[in-house]
Amino acid sequence: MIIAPSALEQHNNSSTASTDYRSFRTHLNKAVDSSKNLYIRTNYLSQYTRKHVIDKKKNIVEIVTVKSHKRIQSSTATVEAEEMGQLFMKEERRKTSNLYLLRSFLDLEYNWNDNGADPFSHNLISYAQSLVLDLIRQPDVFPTARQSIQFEYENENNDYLEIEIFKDKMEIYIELNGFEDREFEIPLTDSNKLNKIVLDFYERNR
Amino acid sequence: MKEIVSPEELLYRAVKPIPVYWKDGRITSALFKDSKGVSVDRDGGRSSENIISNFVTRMGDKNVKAIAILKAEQCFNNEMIVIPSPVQDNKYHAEIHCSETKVELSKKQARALANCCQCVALQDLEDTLV
Repeated sequence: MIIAPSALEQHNNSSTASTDYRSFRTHLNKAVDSSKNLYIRTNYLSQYTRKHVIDKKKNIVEIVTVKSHKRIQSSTATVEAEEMGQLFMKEERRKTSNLYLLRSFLDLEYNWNDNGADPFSHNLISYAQSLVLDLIRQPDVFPTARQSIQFEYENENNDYLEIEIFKDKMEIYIELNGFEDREFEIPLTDSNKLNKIVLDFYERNR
Repeated sequence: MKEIVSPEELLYRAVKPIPVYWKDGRITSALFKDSKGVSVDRDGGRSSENIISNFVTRMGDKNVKAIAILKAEQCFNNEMIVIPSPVQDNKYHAEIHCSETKVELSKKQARALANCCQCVALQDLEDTLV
């Protein structure tokens, strides 16, 4: 099924805008009390401080602030948590953008590159969209004239990660320091490995 | 036109506005991935302005977003071959292949071309959603 980005946006908007105060408190308490990692907590705090500071009464913002200071151990963690929340929201926006972009590849007709390139199949686009939904960090997305979709990442060291998605496999290409490179294949059924490959690629700098 | 492409020759590849093949003003290697060979125009002793004008005349000014320019030497240094293949309306046409026996470039080769090509933008290279 091809995902229409407008449906995704509606879901996101309705899930945050329609939350009343009681469920807001429930979500907040769950996020702060849970044993989940800071990244998940930050997601809830960032969403609700942004969405509710205008829509709700002022005392709710104060409650959020008090709760966050009580529960988060380190004072510096508050700043880090906010930054991680901003990163999360940025990636979510990119995710929507990538879904739109992939959908647009279906409009590329035969000979779209003036060299006899074939149009893209619904299956391939649908699969690429499912990967975009799963990926924590979003790639730059491009079509190729050999029936594949290319996901690209570059880090601060100019290292390069490329994931080329074909109808029957994924080919991974990694270039480090502009010189070392390696290439390998993974089957389409191993899509859950992609997040690890991407996170390992960025962790390399740390 | 010489039958063999010499290393110092410049090769020109048109970049269409759709799909988007650039990010932060740089060309992606996806531009050089084509199962039928990477089509380029040889310089043939012409000036860059002449060549770009020829692209615009052939393809229409709205269909050429930028021109990627690379030296044939950069193809040879990465074990690619450049095959002259003139067509009816373009005697300067050539194709870049992976090798004598394989058409599609490898990932490393495509990436090398993307890294070493220079890009002349005919329109603003803004990232645009299709």
